[in-house]
Amino acid sequence: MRLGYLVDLDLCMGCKACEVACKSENEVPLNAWRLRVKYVDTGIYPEVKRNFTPMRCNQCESAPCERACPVSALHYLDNGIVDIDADRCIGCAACMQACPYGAIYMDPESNTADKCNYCAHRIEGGLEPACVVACPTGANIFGDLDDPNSVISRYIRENGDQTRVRKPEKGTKPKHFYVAGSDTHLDPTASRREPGVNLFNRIGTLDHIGGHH
Amino acid sequence: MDNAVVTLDVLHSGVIWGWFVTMNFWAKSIATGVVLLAPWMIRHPGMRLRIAVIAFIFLNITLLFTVLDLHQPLRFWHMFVYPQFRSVINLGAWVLTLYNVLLVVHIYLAHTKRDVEYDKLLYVTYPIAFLGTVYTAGLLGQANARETWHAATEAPQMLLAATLAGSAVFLILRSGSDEAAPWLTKVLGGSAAIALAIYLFEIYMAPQKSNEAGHVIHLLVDGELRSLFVGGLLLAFMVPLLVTLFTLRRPTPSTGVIASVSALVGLWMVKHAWLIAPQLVPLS
Repeated sequence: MRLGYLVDLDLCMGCKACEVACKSENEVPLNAWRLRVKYVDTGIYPEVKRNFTPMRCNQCESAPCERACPVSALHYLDNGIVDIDADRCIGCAACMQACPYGAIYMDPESNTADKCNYCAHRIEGGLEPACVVACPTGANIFGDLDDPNSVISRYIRENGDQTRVRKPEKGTKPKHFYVAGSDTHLDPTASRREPGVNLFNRIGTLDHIGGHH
Repeated sequence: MDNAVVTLDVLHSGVIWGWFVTMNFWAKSIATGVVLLAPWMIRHPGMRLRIAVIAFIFLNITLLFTVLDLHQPLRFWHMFVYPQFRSVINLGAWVLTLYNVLLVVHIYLAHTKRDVEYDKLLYVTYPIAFLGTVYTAGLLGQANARETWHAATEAPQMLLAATLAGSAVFLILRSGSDEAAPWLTKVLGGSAAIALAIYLFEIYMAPQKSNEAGHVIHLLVDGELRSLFVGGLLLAFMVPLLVTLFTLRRPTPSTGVIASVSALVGLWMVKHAWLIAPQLVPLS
């Protein structure tokens, strides 16, 4: 079994229900995220468009975070999920430097690294991840990539070239796919981050990482 | 760019490895550099004890900052009871621990004037010092997110930083009497010249594979880290190089000290800029 994720960006409307559900389900502290929805505005008025991109851990098949962790706190589960043992983590942040997707954060309360694990506790109990359940448009599609009849496998087959992953050149073999994703959706260097108060919130940098000031 | 602007997002995590890690790199350059120069320096009287003590002090400064940088410093022992040997950080922890033990033995042997045993043990300590220097390049190489740290020249740069820092410390402490000064000055100047050439190659000639790497180089050369990085290059490499060239035939203690202090200050600045620049570029 290889659990994977796919987001159909044509269906995503940026409601952030997935983000809220994730925060609530996993008790993710303030200033940290396992799943976020990023808004990028493109074009010049009146020809403008807003892109929404949900981003979470890619559960890479060749996960650089797992290799870099000096104490095996990051490890694979049998279903392909890359999980983290918070009791073992020493907080060296090597995983944060290794992850090319910026998907790992330092929990400011436990001072250990943390990230999305596809709600491994829910999957173990036969439930779907919280973000999948919360999505009102069915944009989040989750399932077994090894099963050719799963919804995700069919979706990837049917969409062919329309299916992309983030930063394939990093060789991490992500198991998180996007349909209808443009460079603006998937490449952070394809958009500007202008520090300061923007349309919806402050675009800026955290004052500290985890409990370190 | 298709006039694309981020209008809603979480805060960027910013610099994860900051000046504590720079201190680690800097102090380790001295701790290993003095031993890498030991085969030449032990010919001078009184150097055996001095080499081992300098290396021991700076190695433990390295380890102190390494542990302090952990978000769970009291779990440092997990490195040894839950080792993951594909992680270069873990391998480095073992190498530096072994190095520490060897230095303690060296101090004992030097203190008890057992020079033959000291010199024999150097055959073991020397490769460990070498590994202790270059493993950091492997550590940076595992940071898959930071392309500029993956340069093939990273390991040679670590070695050059060690020989630069080692010779600088010897010159500042006026070690090995006046006899050693010309040779140490040449090591200092030579290390500075090669390191500078490699940095310039990396910046202006090495192919950058990604846009992210291009942003990092821009930050270092034209952006907000320009003063730190370019100032560091001047102090770490240009000043020692010029001092060496102008005093090649007759180095004086004072010019050697000036060049060495400049090299050590500049080395910290360059290493710090190189460390934090890639972390300022958002990954997602």
